[in-house]
Amino acid sequence: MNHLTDLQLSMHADAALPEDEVQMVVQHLESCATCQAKLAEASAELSVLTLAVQSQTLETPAAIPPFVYPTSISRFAMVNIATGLVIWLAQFLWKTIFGEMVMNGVAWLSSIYIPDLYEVASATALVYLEEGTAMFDAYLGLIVLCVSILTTLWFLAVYRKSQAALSVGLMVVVGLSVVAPSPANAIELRRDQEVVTVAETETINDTLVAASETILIRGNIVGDLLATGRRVDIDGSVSGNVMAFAESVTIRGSVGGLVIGAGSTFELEGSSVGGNLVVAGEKLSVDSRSEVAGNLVIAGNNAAIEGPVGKDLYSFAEIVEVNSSVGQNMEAFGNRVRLLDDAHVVGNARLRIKSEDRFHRAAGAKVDGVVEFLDVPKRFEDVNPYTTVTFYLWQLARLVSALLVGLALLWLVPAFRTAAVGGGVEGLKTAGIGLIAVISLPIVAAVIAFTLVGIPFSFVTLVAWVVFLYLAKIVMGLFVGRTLLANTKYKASDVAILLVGMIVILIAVNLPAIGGVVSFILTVLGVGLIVQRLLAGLAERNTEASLS
Amino acid sequence: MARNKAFEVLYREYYVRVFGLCRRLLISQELAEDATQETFMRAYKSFGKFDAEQPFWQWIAAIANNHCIDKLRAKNRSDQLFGDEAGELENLASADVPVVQRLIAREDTDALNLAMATLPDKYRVPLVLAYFNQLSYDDIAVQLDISRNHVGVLLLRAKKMVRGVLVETHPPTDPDQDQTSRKGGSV
Repeated sequence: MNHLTDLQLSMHADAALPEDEVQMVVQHLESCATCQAKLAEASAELSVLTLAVQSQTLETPAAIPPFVYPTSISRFAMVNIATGLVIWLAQFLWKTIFGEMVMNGVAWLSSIYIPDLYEVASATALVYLEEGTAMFDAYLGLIVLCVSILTTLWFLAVYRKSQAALSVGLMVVVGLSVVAPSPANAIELRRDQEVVTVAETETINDTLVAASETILIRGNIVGDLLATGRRVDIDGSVSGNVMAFAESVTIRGSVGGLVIGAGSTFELEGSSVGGNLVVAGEKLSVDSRSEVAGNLVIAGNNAAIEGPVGKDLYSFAEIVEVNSSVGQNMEAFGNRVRLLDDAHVVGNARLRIKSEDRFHRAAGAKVDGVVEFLDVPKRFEDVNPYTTVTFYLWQLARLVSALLVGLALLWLVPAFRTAAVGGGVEGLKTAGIGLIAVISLPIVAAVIAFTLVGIPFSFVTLVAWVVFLYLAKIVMGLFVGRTLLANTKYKASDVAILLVGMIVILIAVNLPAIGGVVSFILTVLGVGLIVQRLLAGLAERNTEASLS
Repeated sequence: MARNKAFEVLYREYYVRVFGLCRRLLISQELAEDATQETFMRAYKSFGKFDAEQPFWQWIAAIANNHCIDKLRAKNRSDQLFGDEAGELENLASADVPVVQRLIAREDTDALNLAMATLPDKYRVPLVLAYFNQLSYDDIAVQLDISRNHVGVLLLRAKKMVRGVLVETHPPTDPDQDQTSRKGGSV
């Protein structure tokens, strides 16, 4: 009689024989003691094996790690796409409203009238003043709406569930800031095709914005003045600042704050300026009865200074004539500098002119300090940075600060000890995330800065961006150091890892020609690692929060 | 979201078992941890398709099996991880490992698990699927893309190899001691 095979016995013990075979095997077993014994062995063996394999001895996970939700990358991508959409919309609107309407309006104006810069500027200012506020409100409203939708999406994606209340709260704040009436503005607008006059007897207790062909300020303004037109005459007094852009600007009264302006001719006649005077134009003059208490900055063709200047004088004029006292230093870039008889420079005079004979100093002119002739600064210095001691000192300082910051970073976020750039697709993903973050953060900051409530967020975003850029190389330094020291006895030393990694990175980014590219790649990868770590951290915190 | 809440409850409840399955299939602790995360990740993504009438364990174990077997195939760079049946039968005929039933019965589960861990992938995987996962021969055949009979051959060979390893690592001493610690359990 043929005995059962081992395979038949094993499969029978497992209750896995095909039906037609079972019959035969059962029949055989009834009459064969040898096979019965073998089957008993096989069954017993099966029991022990099952018991062993089912036993928990192999299960030794120290703790159940939090579940990492798989969609964080797609959420991140979604938020980025939404940001892109907002920027695109903003650009589109900007082009449509300001590009098409305003610029076409200006072009239309200039084609009808004799093209005159100041006329067009005046006309543009009129358009702005009449339509601009409403346009800007609409534009701002759209941006605020997009940003608040984006913020809501972001908060929903990141915090989900209960914390979504936070995003709703933020939405309400942003929404209210849009619909709430703007605070009563202390601005008075005056516009006229021909002339805007503030009469001698008149006092304006607001900021005055005036646009017209001719602007005559005879009265007093307690506030700032913004004036643009063909001719601006200020005979009265302005307690605040003055901004004046016109073909000719003449200031005869007193100004409490600073004066900023531009014009073909810009004259101060018997005027006193409490702050700085910053002007640009063809012909600039400060007569002997005038006085500037702060700094005087002039740029243009001809400048004649006959009134005293309280502090420094900076001149970027082609020809500058000084016949008065300058409280501190004088610095002049230009073609010719003349110090006339009554000139008195209390500090030094630094002259950046082509040759000394272009400097005229009258017999009576006094300079208490020294007169220096400086060459026009060279645009590029041909100094090899690698041969200077300062270069290496700087690199040493960078290394030490990177070490300290790196150690602090590891102490705060121990997970960076294991952050690594993966090969293949993982590495590309890190680079992609890094690139998106490096590019999108400043854009996001710029976009949200448009909204009043967004300014702190914008600031925080910018700070985060700068911090990311700095930390990026340190995180990469950790990765490089760890890789290099993986098989040495220093592999557990944070200091050694950081030191080696940062030295390698500092050398790499200072390589001639390719250093810049290396630095960029390292930054992108490092920012990618940081963002991935942040996303993972958020996901972990979420899981913990929802599990507890 | 209710869906996430439900999934996290299941995650906590089944993590250890799924980890145990992956650990037995892949041996390495690190690989098993990764595979467990990946298994739950895949389960989370297709959680919408999960039929609540079905036992969750069956569903998640199938995902874990698929993932681990894919990993092993990738490691061995071959779809033919489980060999072909004819060659296996030849092997079987020539392999003459003595049956040390008493030794098996006396061994503690740790030694058995260690012995199983030394088996090549192609024998260990069916063993785990059959006795840990409690899958039928038919299910294993589908899972490994081999014939039903081939499953029987692999399992028999696996058992013989476990015995072989035990004989090597624990040579029989005094056969009378066996009686005291005989272990058993129902399948």
